[in-house]
Amino acid sequence: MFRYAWEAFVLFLVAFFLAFGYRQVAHPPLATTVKPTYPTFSFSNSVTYQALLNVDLPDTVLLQLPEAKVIFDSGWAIFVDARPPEAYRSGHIPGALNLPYNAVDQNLEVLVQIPVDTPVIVYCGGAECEASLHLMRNLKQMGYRHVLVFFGGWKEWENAGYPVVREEGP
Amino acid sequence: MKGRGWQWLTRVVRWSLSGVLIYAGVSKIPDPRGFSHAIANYRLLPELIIPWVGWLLPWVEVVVGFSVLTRIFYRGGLVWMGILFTGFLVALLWAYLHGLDIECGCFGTSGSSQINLLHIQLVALAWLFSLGLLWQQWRVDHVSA
Repeated sequence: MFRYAWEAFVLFLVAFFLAFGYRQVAHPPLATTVKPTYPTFSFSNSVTYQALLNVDLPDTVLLQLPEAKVIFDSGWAIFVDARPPEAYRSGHIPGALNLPYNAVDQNLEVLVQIPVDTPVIVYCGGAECEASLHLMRNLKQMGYRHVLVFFGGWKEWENAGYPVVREEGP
Repeated sequence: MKGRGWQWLTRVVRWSLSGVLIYAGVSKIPDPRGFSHAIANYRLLPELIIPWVGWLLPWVEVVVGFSVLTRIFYRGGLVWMGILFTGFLVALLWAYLHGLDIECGCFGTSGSSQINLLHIQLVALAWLFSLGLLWQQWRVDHVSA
């Protein structure tokens, strides 16, 4: 038993000194602060209401387009559009509420329509905008636990030819 | 059971596992930062120690691989191999059961694929083989002692 532990210790020392030596010679860039990057969430082809309620991760959960469509068809979650009102009026996902990420406090009448324990899907213009991520963080700080981000957003939804609502007019 | 066939089977398993470890380690050594991020995405370890693990773990893999391959400090290598594959299996199962759609990070970060059931099955197989080798050596030592 002692021999196993001793040999394992020696091997660790060898690995440590090799790693140390390599670092001195090659100067590989070492991470200082390491945060999880945004993972996408996989429902393994079986999106269920229970799976949505199980979403309680400390960081961002990103939805793919097919998953967002399944949830939309099932009505399991409230969709929230994080874009400015003008963009929302020009076209949005049917049933989605408009809650611009930088004006949450001025839209309390929208906020009260979203129960805290309901799954919420937030989205914005598309993968290049970050309004949905900001809104997700705001909602989580307010106590919403099951918040998911549909990262492809409006652009991906519209390009897919899925149902949309356009509010024309001044 | 202890014939030449068994000896060759053991040898092939030993070579295969050590080859996998050496390849996995070597592919991660040039990019400790990327590997650290792959580890962080599992959400299993405290952020403070992740850079250290990302820096040291590939070297442990390489040293352990060579140890098992050459039978130098073989027993220690087998202990480490069991620990490593146990850790890999736990991490993969954790990520899979929590629905984390993240990169495996098994062989570096470039071209790494998302975690799937095949990864878990392969690592579980390697884990069983590594424990088998350790158990076999333990029995040899025990009988000869």
